[in-house]
Amino acid sequence: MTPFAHPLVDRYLSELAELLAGVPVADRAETMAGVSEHIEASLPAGHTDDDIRRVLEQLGPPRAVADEAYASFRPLDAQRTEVPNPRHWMPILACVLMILALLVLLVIFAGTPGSTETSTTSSDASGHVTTTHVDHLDPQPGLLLLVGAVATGPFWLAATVLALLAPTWRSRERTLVIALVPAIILATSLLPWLGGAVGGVTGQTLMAWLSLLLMVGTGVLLVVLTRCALSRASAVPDGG
Amino acid sequence: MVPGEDSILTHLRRGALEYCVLAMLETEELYGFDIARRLDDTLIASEGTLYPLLARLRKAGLVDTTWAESTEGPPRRYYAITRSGHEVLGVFRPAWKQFRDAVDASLDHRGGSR
Repeated sequence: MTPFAHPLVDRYLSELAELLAGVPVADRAETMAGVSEHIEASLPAGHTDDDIRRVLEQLGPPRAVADEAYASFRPLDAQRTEVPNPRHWMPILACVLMILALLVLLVIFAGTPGSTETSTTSSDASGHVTTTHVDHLDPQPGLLLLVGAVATGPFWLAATVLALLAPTWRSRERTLVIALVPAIILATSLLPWLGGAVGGVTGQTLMAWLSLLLMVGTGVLLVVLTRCALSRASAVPDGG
Repeated sequence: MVPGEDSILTHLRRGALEYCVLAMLETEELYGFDIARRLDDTLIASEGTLYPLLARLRKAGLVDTTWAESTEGPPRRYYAITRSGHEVLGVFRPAWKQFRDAVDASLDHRGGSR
């Protein structure tokens, strides 16, 4: 905004700008632009100081203009809040779908035996038959990964699409929401196997419990992320 | 004007002025300056208060603004009513009539419709 050549106008405008300091930037700019335009349009080519004073008087004191800008009584704005906010169902549904995916994974995980039993029967020279049962650690990471991915896939895909469409999450939050389930699938497939390889039965069992905990933790984290985003969205009035 | 009347009018204006501005834009697009000049003194004491009001109307989606090249200087803002603005006027007119009649009846000590 180029300053007027005239000190009277400049003083008026700077006083108005100061009084409007608490108003949102866009609104302040719009009001200032309108008032400046009005002054320019009001003044004829060869205007005098008296002309300027007259125009400024008709504009009214800067305080009156600022008061109008701060007016809390806005009957027209009230109408907009009646429109229901359709955006909230998307993140909620996305969160629910991700949790469903986690539940599916949990069922698969619980149903996959961590070991296979082999029995060998042998008989020795005196006809004594012994059957030995041996438990081999068989956490089946590949199988878990495959079945897990396939079974949770549809839920995760639907949830991802919703997460991408919903404007509610910030981009970092959204990435986290989308990446959590695949990460958990990987973790629950690989951890028990790694545990078994390093620490035998104890290791595998420990890692299995850890995977379970991680699954629960992921569910909680998803809910927290969704609730945070939703409360942030409702705190800010629509539009504007 | 006596001081008391000022504050009464200010309060009355709050409710109605926005609709009067919308009505002015019902049939033509106008510069803010034109709107200010056409408004009766009773409706607006300080012409400057029109501009925050217009900003409010624009934010509420009731008016649109376009920039028009002006031969007299920099481009100027044109205000035009929107479909929503027309709808709001359609709601305000009967409401205002009802309100005005009720106030008149009270002031004239006529019986109410209750």
